[in-house]
Amino acid sequence: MNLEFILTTSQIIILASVSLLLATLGAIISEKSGVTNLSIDGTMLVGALTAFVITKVTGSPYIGVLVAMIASGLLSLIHATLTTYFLSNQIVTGLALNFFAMGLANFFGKNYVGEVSEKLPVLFANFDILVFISFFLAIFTYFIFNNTKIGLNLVAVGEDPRVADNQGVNPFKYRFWAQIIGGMIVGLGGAHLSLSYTPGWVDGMTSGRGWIAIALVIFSFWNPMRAILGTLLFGGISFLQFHFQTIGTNIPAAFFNMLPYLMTILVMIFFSGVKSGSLMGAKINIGPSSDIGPSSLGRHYIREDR
Amino acid sequence: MNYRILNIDINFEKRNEQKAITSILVTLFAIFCSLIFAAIIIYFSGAAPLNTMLAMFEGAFGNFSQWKDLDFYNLSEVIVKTVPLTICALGISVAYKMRFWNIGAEGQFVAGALASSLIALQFDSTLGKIPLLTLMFVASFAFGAIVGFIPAILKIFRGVNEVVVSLMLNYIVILFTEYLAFGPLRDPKGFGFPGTREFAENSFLPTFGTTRMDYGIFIMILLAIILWIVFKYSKWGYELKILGENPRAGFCSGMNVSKNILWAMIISGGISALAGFTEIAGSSHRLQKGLAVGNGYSAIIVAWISRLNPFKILLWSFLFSVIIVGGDQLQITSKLPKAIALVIQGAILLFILAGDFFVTYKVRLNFLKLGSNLGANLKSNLGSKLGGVE
Repeated sequence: MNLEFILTTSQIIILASVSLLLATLGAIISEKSGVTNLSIDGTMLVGALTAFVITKVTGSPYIGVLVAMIASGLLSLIHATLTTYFLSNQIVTGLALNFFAMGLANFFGKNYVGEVSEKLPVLFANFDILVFISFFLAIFTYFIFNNTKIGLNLVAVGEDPRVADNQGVNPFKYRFWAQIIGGMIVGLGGAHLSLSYTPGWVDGMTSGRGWIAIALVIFSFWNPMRAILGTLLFGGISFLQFHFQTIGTNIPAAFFNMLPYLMTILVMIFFSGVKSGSLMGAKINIGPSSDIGPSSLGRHYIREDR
Repeated sequence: MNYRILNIDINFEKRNEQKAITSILVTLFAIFCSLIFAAIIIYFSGAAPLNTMLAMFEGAFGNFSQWKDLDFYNLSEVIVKTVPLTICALGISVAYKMRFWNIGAEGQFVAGALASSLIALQFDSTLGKIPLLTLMFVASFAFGAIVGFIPAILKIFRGVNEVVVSLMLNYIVILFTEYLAFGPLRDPKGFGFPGTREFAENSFLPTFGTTRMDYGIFIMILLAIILWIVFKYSKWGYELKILGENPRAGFCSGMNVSKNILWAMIISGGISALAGFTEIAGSSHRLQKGLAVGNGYSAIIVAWISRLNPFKILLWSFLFSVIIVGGDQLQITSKLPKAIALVIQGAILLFILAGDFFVTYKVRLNFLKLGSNLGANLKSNLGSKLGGVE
């Protein structure tokens, strides 16, 4: 165990966790407003494909990243409009959009399987710009949520849209924009996958990262700083997978591939804390809302309803 | 509700009664819009939209010369596809009835296929046809029920988000099954073929004549009828419905929420797994890679579009199978990716979700005069308010 080993290990862990961190942050932003978002995985795929294709066409990975943000923002526009203005079921809308996005990405990505493009340039010690952006964004979002008017309003909308509305905060606007900005950040995560972590395009290349991000949102109690911790944990698992595969063991690869998913379930079991004394609440709460998240998560806001 | 976009004042009013005809019109319009959308993205991918759509249609139903020779191969493929899709959607509908978001149908389906294969591998030379098929049937149901049980029990005791757990189980079950099919269960005489040996013939479900359509169709129809009766006439079906629509009301009137979650998921997982049984015993006859092609995910869309009505599920599954088989054929004939099928499915559901709004709400557009709109509007508002005061 020497210094070099520790350095490379931490580098791998950090690189592995970037896309997950960005996806988790995006999901936190959109869920803070009180809208359940299950389209993370599909949005990531669209971000990954767009980033790859645009980089290939223009030759500049930075333009690729920007366009990926726009594309995933446009995709989230569908989710935002349907859930806030059309009052559609948030879970079904998220799932539908997820499949839709998955189909779109696989459809347009078919011709790009196995191609290569520019990668994001390394700035410092194997780290590209998105590494820094992701960690900065986590701190920045935390600051926004706790110290700015916009952030506090957003949290208020997520907790109780009616009270927020009475105070002159427009819940529709906040929910709408939280979806779109969240989606754009999720798209950044996708871009990091296809331009840096596993360069190239493969069908379904997120391999469920978007869903792990949704679990991490719960793990982190909707707190961006804790999200860093959670994603590093999963980065560590990716490293273990990688490490054991290179040194070779008797354990079949399938079991290492299962690790992140098993770990997600374990994390969910330990951190889906039902608040003490509210076991009855847990029994009544059918649907993915839980006691620790934004109180109005998953519920529509209709002005006329009392 | 009231929104304002430019000079258009949009007013929403909840309808007193929802008419079936609006709902049907919305659905048809949604299908139409999704096809238009599909045409647009086909155009952008560089193919001719109309020809491609016709090729999809031909892929699903066959063409004129085939019909003349009474060759309905393509249509029979659609029906072969309909069976697992319907059964998965029926399974899902049980859980969704109480708004328990099981998205693990894919994993439950694979678990069922695994169970059937394990039984068939073990007993296909010793047991007769009927005991063997029964055993496979029961084992599939049990495996699926176990996979469905996990998110339910975690939800009850820890309040764990069932969406994430059931989805993660998909990955785990599929990886585990693929490991078994490649590893310990691999056919030693298969020359590296990734899968088990072909099972003996007494593990086969009977087929209709020489087609690939098997008696799984009867299982599918029977399940739909049973579920329709359960949803409509049984006390349990009623409890599921109430707990789905208003859990608090159900809880307060003495329904046991935990017990209902548990049973709903056991049955839901079990039924979805039966699709794995019909797949193994009906058409594939061996456990191999590529079993999980997304039936479990399409089934979610089907179940929701059908509004959890078992007979509508039959209808929509058929329609979706047409899209899926059409997409598969398209990939074979014209190299266009079959993902187009997933796009159309997702688009249909998204359009229907948007359209549902117009089923529940009446929309009034009020065009305000451009230019003078601000002042005039302000005046009229003020006027009405003052009028009220006076």
